[in-house]
Amino acid sequence: MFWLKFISKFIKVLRAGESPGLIAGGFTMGFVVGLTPFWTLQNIVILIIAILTKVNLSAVFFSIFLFSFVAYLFDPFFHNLGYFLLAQVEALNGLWTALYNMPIAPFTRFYNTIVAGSFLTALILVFPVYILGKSGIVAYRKTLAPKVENSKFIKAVKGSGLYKWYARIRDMEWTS
Amino acid sequence: MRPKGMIALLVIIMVFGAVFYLLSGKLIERGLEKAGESVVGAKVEIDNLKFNLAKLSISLDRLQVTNPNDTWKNLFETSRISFDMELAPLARKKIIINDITIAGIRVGTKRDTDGALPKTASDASPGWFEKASESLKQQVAEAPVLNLGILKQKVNVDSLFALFNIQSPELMASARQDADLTFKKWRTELAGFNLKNDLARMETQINEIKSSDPKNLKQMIATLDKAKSAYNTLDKLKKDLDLKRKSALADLKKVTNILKEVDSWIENDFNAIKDKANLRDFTPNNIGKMLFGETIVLPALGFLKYIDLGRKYMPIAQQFLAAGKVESPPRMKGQDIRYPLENARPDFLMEHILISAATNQQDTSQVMSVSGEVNGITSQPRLYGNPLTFVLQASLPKSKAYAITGRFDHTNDVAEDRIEVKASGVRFGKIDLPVRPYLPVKVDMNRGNLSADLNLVGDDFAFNINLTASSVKFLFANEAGNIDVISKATRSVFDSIDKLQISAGISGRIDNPKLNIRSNVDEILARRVQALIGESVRAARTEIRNRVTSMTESKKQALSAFINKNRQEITGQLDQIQKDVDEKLAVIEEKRKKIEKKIEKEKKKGINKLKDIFKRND
Repeated sequence: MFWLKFISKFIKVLRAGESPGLIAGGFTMGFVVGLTPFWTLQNIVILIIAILTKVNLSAVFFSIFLFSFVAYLFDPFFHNLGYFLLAQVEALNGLWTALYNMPIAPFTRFYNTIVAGSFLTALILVFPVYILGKSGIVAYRKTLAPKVENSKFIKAVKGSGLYKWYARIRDMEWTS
Repeated sequence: MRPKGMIALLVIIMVFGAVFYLLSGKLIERGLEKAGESVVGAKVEIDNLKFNLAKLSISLDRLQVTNPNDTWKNLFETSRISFDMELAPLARKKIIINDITIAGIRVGTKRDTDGALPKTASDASPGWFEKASESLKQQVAEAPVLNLGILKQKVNVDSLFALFNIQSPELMASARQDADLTFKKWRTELAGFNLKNDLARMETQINEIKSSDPKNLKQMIATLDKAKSAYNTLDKLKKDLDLKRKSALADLKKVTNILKEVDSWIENDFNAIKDKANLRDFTPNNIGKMLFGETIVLPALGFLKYIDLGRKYMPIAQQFLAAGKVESPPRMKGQDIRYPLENARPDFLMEHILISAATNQQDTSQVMSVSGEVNGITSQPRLYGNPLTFVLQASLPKSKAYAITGRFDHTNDVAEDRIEVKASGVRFGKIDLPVRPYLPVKVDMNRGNLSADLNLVGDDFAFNINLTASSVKFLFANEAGNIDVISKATRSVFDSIDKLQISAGISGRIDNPKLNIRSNVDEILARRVQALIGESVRAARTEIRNRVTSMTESKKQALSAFINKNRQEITGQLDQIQKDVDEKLAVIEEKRKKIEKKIEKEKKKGINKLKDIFKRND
């Protein structure tokens, strides 16, 4: 039910309400956390920032949920990329060794191939994801949402039992 | 900022903090107990561990470590212990304890509950300690046993041989087959060795060079080139031959070494049959093992057990860099890449421990108290850079102390472990001896000297112990009374002993060390026992020896002749090829030198002619 709650809220906020920037921000933070192994210092910091700032938390958790599956699919790629960065790029050896010897840096688990590979991928994609997310929400609200609402297909769907189930979830009242 | 978020975060932090505060002691307690149990192999119990986060100190009311060999007793138990940990290394999950004092340790206390751990399926193959232990216990068990039968034992040698299959003829047959395979392999190798064909091909070329008589410089240079080319080809062949020869000689050496083993196979057969008939020799060394074998072996194994634990939990190898890429690590786990640590600290280190302990015995005159210090217990000795050392003093009441020192150096590629015990003028008290027929069960030694030195460097083991004691009294299980002839003999020997001298050694590879014990009792007792042994027993021994020899001698000779003949044949072939190559090389070399001289002569002639021409033109 926990995830259902966030999915329901996320669907609601997509249509109207919060600013696209805050939703895309939350979605991007969740993207970074979801793509990388969870128990790392940077993920805890990102989640604290998400809790303290006004980014949309439903977007954060929906995004974590979604990208955890994506991360699983790309696991071998992250391992190879991480191994390349950590063990095969000699120029970076000094940096890794210095980080390894710092008191706090090892809590980021940067020395793990999956963490390194997925975090680098997330960093590269963080701005595209934010920009695409933001413009996607704006576009959805402006053009796609009314069209979709008025399409014959949607009307047909709305009459179906499946839609009623969806609507029930969407309109659920959650106490928070 | 989101005020609700701030509150939620604070609540989460407080809940985590409270849970950690409440459970940290229990978590650490269970963690330490589990770690201890994995080392000891029996229950380790800690009572009331308290962790003070502010001071980073730990205290516990009692620590009980079960004796894995007797799970209703503790190896030791302590009273209250408290110690501080370093803060900074904790961030890296490293436990560094600089100083700890463990006072009031009591050794061998009784337990209220069984300290055995539930049995788990173990697939671990025996390690060096188990092998050493097995080998030494076997050697002690093989010591002869005194019994009345040895006086008038009748041995039916025929029925013994009917029951026992001697192994050496089969081993010799198998060795002959192996040797034959090696000889066949080398015959085939040499038959197909191209060198012979190459040499035959070169024969014509060499004869041509040999018989050539170049007249002019051009012919000389052509012949010299031919000679050089032939020399290089032969030299390459010689190198090939050298390689083959080396390989062949190594194989032949292995085969020849089999002959050296044959005698030990025959000796094993002889001993096995003797053992079956209970005709073991009462030599001084065997008597030494019979009397003091267990008394020497058990403490040595006790020391070795600690070294085994040290080598297991303080390993020599430290891997800082990943050996290579793990192609398919578990999904979402990845691979941790390790980097060199600067000023690195080990994961676990107890720098300095002060200990005081006492054994738990009802007879207070037998309570041994131990005190001293241990330095450098660490999980990563190479990283720490210093060996584990300990200096302990152990003593019985009203006695001088034993000085026990040790050094487990695992900081290099080869582990070097040493334990030394020295005692001068100490009161030994009563020492239990193994219960064996006709032999004493205790020895009461007043004062004496002891020195023991145990060294284990890599796999090479050496343990020496020397003991001298005066006012010695051997105690028997039964009072002297209705005693037989053997009892009379042994008691008279032991009653006459006032001073005891034991010198024992265990040495060799650690997984199969050899035990050797000598004492001043051995010689006397051996002579007495030899005198008692019946004539029929001596005759049976000779008969067994002769039978084994007659059953094996012809096969031994045949194997020896077979190996020597074939070895000579193959080495002969190799020598012949070598000789051919050397001869041909010498011929070419000689010819080359001659031609070079001729060329030199022709050059001089040419230069002189040119000079004449220039003179004439001037």
